[in-house]
Amino acid sequence: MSEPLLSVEDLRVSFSGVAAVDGVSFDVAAGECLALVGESGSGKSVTARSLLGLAGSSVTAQRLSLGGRDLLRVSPRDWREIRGGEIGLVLQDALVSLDPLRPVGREIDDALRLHTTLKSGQRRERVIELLHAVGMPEPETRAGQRAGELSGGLRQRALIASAIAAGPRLLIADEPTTALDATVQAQVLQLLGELRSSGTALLLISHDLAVVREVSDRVAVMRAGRIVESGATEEVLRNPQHEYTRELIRSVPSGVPRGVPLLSPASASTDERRTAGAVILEARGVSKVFPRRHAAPLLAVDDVSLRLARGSTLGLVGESGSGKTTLARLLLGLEEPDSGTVLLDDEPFSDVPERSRRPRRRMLGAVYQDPLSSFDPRHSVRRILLDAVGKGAEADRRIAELLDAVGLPSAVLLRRPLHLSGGQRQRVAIARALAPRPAVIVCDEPVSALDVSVQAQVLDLLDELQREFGLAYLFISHDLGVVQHVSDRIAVMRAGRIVEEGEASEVFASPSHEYTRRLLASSPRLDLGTE
Amino acid sequence: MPVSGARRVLRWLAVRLAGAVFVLWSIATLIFFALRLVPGDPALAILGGPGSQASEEALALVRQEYGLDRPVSEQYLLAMGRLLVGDLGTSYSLRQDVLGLIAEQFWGTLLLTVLALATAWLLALGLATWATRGSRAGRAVASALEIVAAAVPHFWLASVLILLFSTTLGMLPPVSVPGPLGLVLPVVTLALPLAGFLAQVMRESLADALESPFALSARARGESETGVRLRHAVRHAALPAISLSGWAFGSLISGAVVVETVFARPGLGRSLLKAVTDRDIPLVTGIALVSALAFVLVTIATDALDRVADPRLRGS
Repeated sequence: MSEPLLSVEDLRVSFSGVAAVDGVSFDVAAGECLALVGESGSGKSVTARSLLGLAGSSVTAQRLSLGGRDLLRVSPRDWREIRGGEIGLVLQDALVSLDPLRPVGREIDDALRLHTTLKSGQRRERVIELLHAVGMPEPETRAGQRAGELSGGLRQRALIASAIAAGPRLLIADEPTTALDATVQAQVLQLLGELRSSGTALLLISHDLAVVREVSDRVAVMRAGRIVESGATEEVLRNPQHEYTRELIRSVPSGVPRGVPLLSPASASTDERRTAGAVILEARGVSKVFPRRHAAPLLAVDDVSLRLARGSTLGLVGESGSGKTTLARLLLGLEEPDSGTVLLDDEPFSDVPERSRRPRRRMLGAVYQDPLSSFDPRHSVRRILLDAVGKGAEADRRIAELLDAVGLPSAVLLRRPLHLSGGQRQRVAIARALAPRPAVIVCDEPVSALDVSVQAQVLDLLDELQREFGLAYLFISHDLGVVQHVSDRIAVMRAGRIVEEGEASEVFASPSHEYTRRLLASSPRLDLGTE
Repeated sequence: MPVSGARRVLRWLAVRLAGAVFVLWSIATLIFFALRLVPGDPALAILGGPGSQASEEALALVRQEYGLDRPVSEQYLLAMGRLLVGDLGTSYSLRQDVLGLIAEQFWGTLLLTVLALATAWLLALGLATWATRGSRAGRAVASALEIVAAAVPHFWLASVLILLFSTTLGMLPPVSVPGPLGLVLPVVTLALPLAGFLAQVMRESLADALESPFALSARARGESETGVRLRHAVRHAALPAISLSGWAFGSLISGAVVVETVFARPGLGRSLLKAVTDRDIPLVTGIALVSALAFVLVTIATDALDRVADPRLRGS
């Protein structure tokens, strides 16, 4: 192994006395990719920021050096030279990581202005070259557009271009693809791979083991401010030594058969076959058009038909903007279709007066991605659940039942959503959806905002509840691994249409539509084939 | 792209101007009918107010001269017709053309309010910068200053400033004499409360911008703290303050009533106060309309500035 470019030994960062990074050591060589993996709060982002002198707190280390230069003794002026010049940083979502008021070309130009002696005309040319290099189509036009005018993939490319503009030797990518759709993620990962091949050292920070496996040479697993395990990526993933690493890998749902709990394999009971019953919720040729200003009307849902049977799960996959959420709103009776019909339990649920629809709404529940914003922040958990079960003599007993069903202690009743963890919040959201004893729950990206181990807990819970109450789920997600794990049937949505629908196992094994094949190919999977 | 851009701007402007005409017409109508509700006989007011001993004949003559004996609908149409050709009528108390009277007073008040707005902006930027920089204690002092400044009433502030700078220190004249020196105290009196208010708004958005991911990206690019502020954060901080400036200008016009009176400075505000006490309906109407016109124009200007500062507004 060559002399490491970046060398970190016993790095410690604390915020007002609390250790966020607690003795971390690692090396990265030129042309090598090290991945820091961990869940939120594990200290991986703070570690990255302290390499740039931007952790904004007390940072100590035995050694912190870049290409032989001691980063512990750097003047503020020299830091500004190192940032962007020697070390580049790419953050999660370019929509907020690039100044929304300025054209992306100006942001790239800033890096050149700060680190090169180029004149403004030369810089303009270089900006175009850089945009071209990161695979931006029509770079001249794009340079004058703002992040908000570009698609997710294009603006992430612009952000990468601004980070590599001054030719840094080390690029830190902090969750660089987390906000992106699968096909776009694949392109951005390929771009990062190319940069590494051309000699840039890459420090990748991610919670997504599949992404890490695709890009990195070595991996360091972080938990509570420490590295619990590190080594060659393939070796660590295939043969994890630390219990926490094993738990992380176990939590990844892709490849785990339907019905097998992720976290407690002992209680697996696949033999207990779910009996898919009669159709409970059905869409017959529904369409929804949204008028737009200065543009042709948007056909958000285009002649979609689907059927959801009692006690089964229909997975709905598609990239952002494909119309998944609009379809969910049509099915929930929150939006009226422009044509077609929604049937709930064989009776029309669309185009009927709200008076006749309201009593039947109890049959439908919904769980959303961000439970925090779907609760009134001033209400306690008890109040939230009380609103859902309705006041009455039995209310407290029913609330206790619901908490028990979703595995929450009664101590949470007096707390407000803000003071719960992400997983607890989603459990409260599920309890609320269960309160009116629904037959169907529409889950719109219910685990997308959760850490992988919490995600596994929630997925296991949903499965348990389905068996217990015979629930039907419409499970919407962009994550193919999750959808494969939870679904009986799968519908693939693209540009408002269902392009493919069928048994989950068949769709994944032999996709018939070209788009499904592309979607499957571009989604990084963690099929380790060990079990 | 530039062609359609220019057309879009022109269309936006046309819509705004049409809206402005509607607003002015509504205000003129409102004033017309509101003044009908004021107790007292306007003819009596014309002949010297409630205390005058005008004869019935004289009153009848005045009513006829000013059209006060005609039906209300006819009077309304006449008044609107005169407005259309820019005739604001004759002042009851000063027996002069209202438009001419206003034209004399207008520039003094405009100068006062525009200077006050500019001063308020500078002070607010300074306060907001101080409040997001520096030590914890410094920040606390800055935000305390904001609240105090925003809460102070004009008449009290004017008295304190006169006591301090004129009576005690003798640095500045206590009344508004011609020349720049005479403007200092009135401008500061008007600007300080507004500065406190604007600073509160700016501080919040400045702090948000400085903690945002794009600021982190800029720092990671090697931008200095000053660069992050100048190139990125200031613009974000200015957006809400620009939007509020149209409203702020309106509040400055009403503030001018107090300030011009306290500092005995000629201007629209002082004339308005006098016109109201004199029941000088044409003058009150005229000043109200001109203030409304200024307010509407400034609002259009701040909206246009908003579009310049925030390109996202131009899209749709």
